[in-house]
Amino acid sequence: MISTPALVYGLTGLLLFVVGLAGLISCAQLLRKILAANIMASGVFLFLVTIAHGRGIVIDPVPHAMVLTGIVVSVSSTAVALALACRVQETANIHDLRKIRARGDER
Amino acid sequence: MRGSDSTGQSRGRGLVSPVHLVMLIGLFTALSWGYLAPGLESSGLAHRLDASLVDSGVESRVTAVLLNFRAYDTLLECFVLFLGVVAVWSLRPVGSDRHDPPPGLILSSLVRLLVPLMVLVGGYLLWAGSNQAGGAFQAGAIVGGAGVLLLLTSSPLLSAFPKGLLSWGICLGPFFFLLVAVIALGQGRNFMEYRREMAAMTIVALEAVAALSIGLSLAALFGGRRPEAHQEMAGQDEPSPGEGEER
Repeated sequence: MISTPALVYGLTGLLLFVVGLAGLISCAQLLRKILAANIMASGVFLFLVTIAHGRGIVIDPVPHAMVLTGIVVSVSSTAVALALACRVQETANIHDLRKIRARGDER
Repeated sequence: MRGSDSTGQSRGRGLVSPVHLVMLIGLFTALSWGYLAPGLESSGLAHRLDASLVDSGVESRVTAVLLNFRAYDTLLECFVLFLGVVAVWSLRPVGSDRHDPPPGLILSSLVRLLVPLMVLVGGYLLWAGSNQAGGAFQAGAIVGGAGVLLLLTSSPLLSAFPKGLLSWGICLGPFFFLLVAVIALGQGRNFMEYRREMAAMTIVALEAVAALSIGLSLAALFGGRRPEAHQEMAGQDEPSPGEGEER
């Protein structure tokens, strides 16, 4: 049986993941997409830390190590995504995916 | 999530369409069911890890996983960070975005006080990592935070920092890691398998180098652009770190 804190944290992690996914799908602006991807990542980290405490008495350190690694990876991917978004903004002066698509259709 | 833009095109922006909403709710239900369903109990790897912890060379279980049992993940992660810096530097022109006015007396004094303290805390976390919470990532994050603080206040300490050291420091972490891994391979052991009696020392050395590299990489990612190396280097000839502290 899952303890109440584990239930709350685990479901919150899953909810954050789904909310982030919703943002990723529905927001056309690049910055919002990046933020949404970060929310998804936070949800995954929360979930992993929760299952590490999971159901046994012994805490499993493997998910903790994965989260530590994942945080650094998510920082790098966010930085690269931001640099790409800056580049799009600078070269095309747009920050919205739909405008990029509209411009592509015109050509 | 609702967009507050007033442009005509913003209609529907940030609103999830009903089809997506149904799919997302379905996904959440499926994930929750997977989490709550009985029969998925597993004690994980904790017991196996505890059994072989003595072989790892450190007492902290998370550090043992990160730098010994699953060191391959950490190696790849160092390279991801390295590639991130390379990608960001390639995408953005060389230079600096910041043209802020110089910080006031209080802010600059505070930064001068805080930065050495943060480096000290980073060093402590690195050292603590062998037997309690802490380690290369935490230390790297603190050092990176110090770098971010320096960048945000466009501190004069930054110009005292030799620019070549930044690139070398960022490269050092992943490639030192790779070197250690390959040396093990060359000596007839497995990839990243440390020699038993050398394990503790290897891990501490790897952690120290990785922490420095992670800290510099994080600060470089925050900076967003490759700093101008030659112009600034030409302006001042080889300032020693001590000289930088004086100002």
